Amino acid sequence: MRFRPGGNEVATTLPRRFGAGGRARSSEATRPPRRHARAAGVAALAATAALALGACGDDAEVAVELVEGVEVAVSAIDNTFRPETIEVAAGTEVVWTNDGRNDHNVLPVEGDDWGVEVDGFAPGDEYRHRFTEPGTYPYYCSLHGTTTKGMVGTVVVTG
Amino acid sequence: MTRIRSPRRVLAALLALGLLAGACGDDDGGDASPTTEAADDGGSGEGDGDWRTLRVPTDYETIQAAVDAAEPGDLVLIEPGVYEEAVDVTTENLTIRGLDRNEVILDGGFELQNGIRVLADGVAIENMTARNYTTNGFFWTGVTGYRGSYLTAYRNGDYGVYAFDAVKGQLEHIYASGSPDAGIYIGQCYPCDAVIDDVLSEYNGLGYSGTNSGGNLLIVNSTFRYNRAGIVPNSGSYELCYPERETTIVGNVVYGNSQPDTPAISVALLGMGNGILLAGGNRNVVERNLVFDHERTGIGLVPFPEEEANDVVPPQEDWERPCAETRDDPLPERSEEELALVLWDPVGNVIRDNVVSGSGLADLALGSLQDDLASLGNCFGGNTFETTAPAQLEALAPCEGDPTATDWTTGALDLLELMAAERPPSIDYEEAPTPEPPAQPNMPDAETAPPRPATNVPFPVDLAAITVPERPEGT
Repeated sequence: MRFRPGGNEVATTLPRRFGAGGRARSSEATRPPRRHARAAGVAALAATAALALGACGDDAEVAVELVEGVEVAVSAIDNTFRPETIEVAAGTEVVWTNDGRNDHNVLPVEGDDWGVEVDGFAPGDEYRHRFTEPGTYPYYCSLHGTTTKGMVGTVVVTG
Repeated sequence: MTRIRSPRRVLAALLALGLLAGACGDDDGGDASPTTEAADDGGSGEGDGDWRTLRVPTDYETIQAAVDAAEPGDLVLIEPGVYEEAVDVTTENLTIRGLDRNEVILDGGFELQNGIRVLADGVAIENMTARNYTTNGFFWTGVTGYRGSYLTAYRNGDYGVYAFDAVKGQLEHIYASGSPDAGIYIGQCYPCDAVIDDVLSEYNGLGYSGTNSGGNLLIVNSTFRYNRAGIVPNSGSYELCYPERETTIVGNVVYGNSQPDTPAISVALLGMGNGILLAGGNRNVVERNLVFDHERTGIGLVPFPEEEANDVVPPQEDWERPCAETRDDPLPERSEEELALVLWDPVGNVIRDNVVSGSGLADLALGSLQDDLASLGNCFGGNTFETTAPAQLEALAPCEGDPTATDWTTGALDLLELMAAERPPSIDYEEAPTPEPPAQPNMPDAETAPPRPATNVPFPVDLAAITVPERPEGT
């Protein structure tokens, strides 16, 4: 259930995050090995392809270089996206990792064609999305913020 | 809705209209109920200016509806009742007040997340109770200016009262119990510019927790008892703005924090049996507190062991960097070996003039997994105590003059043994035997006091005037 301004989200699926042994909650989502060695922008360029992508807000088409294999990391810690703002080239895959001890989600402020809910983003989990169109993509964690305040972030995608 | 600007304007309005409040057309629309709108009797002082009173449920059926209809400076006044709501506040400078602290109850029914969550600057919450929420009773985040006064928060699934990434705050006259994390929490802020004054926190995992917070952060005149651990400033890289530093803890009563049957997160299990535990806390001042009856230590300075950390301990020259500057830092590039286990040592703390007794291991204690404890720069002086670990701690690390002892090994804490010890397991917060809170004091003049948004907090504290508290009767 997505958060909407004016009310807290009903948490029907959120067990407590800690048991006696620490991170008690597991997830079916892939849990990667600890990261940070692969920090922002460290992945190598694997391939490029020129795609014609629709520009935001009109029917014009612009040529955007899609850069396959580039990824940029964002860490979702308690209760902040780090870094809050990233600027990436179109075609970049952004990888969010829940590096905190709390549950979080990643929800776009506009639209619902990307993002991950709490159940797919437990501590240790990661979520990936490739941004192909230039634009500004604000997002937030509904557990710890609203669309404009608290745990918020922005992906700025350049052409 | 009639807009009330001052008592004189109220009087003029009454004279002109010949009635208290006309059921005028409701320009505010929204969720206003058809009941007669309230005309406020005004007030004086900080409430002067352009503000209204929005009553729940007389004017608005729900707290959320009133909050959504309110404008900056308004007073949302809640009448007695049980409100099964999770309220979000996004309008700044509101005052949200219950008419009776013990009879205005927000109940999450173990399904709703937060009683009231505030994401706007300057919001004050007064005189009410929040219980049975899956996360927090009262929650401010990302704000400048917050105040919680005369609040009761019990049996909530994370924190009772939670201020995160928030600065310029006042938490006062609060009762918090039955949360697995902390009854009261202020975290990820530096400088925090906040005061915790006259709170009672009991039957929680931690009475107080503050991760990566500090900087003009005062905890004074309060009682922390019957938690797993009492007051626990701590550091960790799972939140920003590490490490914890510069919290001032003065004039508190801290006792019996060895409670085995509370809900508890892992840190609370690890810290169980300690009164004031600086777990990777730095440059804190702990002074003139009364601390007694703890299974392990009265006042303990220990490392916080963080497994699978996100970063290592930053150099001390970075500790004065405000939180706001760290927000867009690039992710640290560290090896998995570096992050496998990071020990946040306690550094530069001042422990003086406390009265500590009845501790199972030591009234005053300092421990680390490194050999050179002296290099951590902590000091102890003028305390009343019976035992320390290591022995002669005030001679080893005095606050004034040179050390008169050098043996750091005799009577030292065995931290590895302590960390490995079995602790009574956590009890789910819904099931734990958290006592129903006794009736708590109401704020004065809840019906008539003008709104007082959190624009002038924290309130001044005369630290020098605070003395060691008397031992409570019956203890």
